[in-house]
Amino acid sequence: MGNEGLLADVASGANPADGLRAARALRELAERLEALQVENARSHGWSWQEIAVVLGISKQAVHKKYAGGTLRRGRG
Amino acid sequence: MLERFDQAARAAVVQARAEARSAGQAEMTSAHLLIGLLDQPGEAADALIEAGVSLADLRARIPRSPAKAGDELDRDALALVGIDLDAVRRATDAAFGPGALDHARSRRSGRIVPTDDFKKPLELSLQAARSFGQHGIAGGHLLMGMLDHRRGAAVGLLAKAGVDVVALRADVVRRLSAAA
Repeated sequence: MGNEGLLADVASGANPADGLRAARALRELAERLEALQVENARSHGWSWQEIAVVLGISKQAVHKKYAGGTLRRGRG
Repeated sequence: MLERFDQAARAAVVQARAEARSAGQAEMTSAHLLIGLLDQPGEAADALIEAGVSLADLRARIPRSPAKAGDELDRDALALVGIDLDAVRRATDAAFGPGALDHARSRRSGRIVPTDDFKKPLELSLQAARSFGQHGIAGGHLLMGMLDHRRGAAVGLLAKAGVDVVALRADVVRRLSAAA
């Protein structure tokens, strides 16, 4: 990717502001990708339990975070 | 009610929510349900495809909200840790539709509310199944429910796409009869 210098800077911790900003941006990106993939898994018929196992969190946590609306029913 | 739905009808309901979300909408309508159903293999999708309907065309015709300002991903900060946001966006656009990554945030915070227009076809699909003497609701019954909701968003969307709704309904009935 050609930015090894930048990577080294962030990893070295010489500039906390950059490091924190990078961590925050990663978290935001990860949240969005997770939301897209959970939605996709559901539309492919995955149960909340199956999704939870792959995400490494509890079924309750994944359900609370992503199950929405009033039409959800069964198939846990 | 949903426990009586077959695989296609059920998946259509799940996907309707995803369609509404990726369009940046807080409410889902029968138009989202129609798109969800078109994406499930079965007699409903077969009839829709036969009528000349395509996923891309329908998706392009439903209302879309732009991503909210201030929700943008921090491209420069991601570059600091070696993530090419444009490459990620290209991948998610290809997999989940244009702007999917930008709308993903509101998925987490916002609930997608089913409108009356969304619920009406579900009720009507029960009648459609009953008219075939069936207890289970197939994708085809759900499509009939949408077509019988004459002032609904799904019928409006099909009309805009140039589909003869009456002929489409007759085709679905024919396919369901052949399968029964």
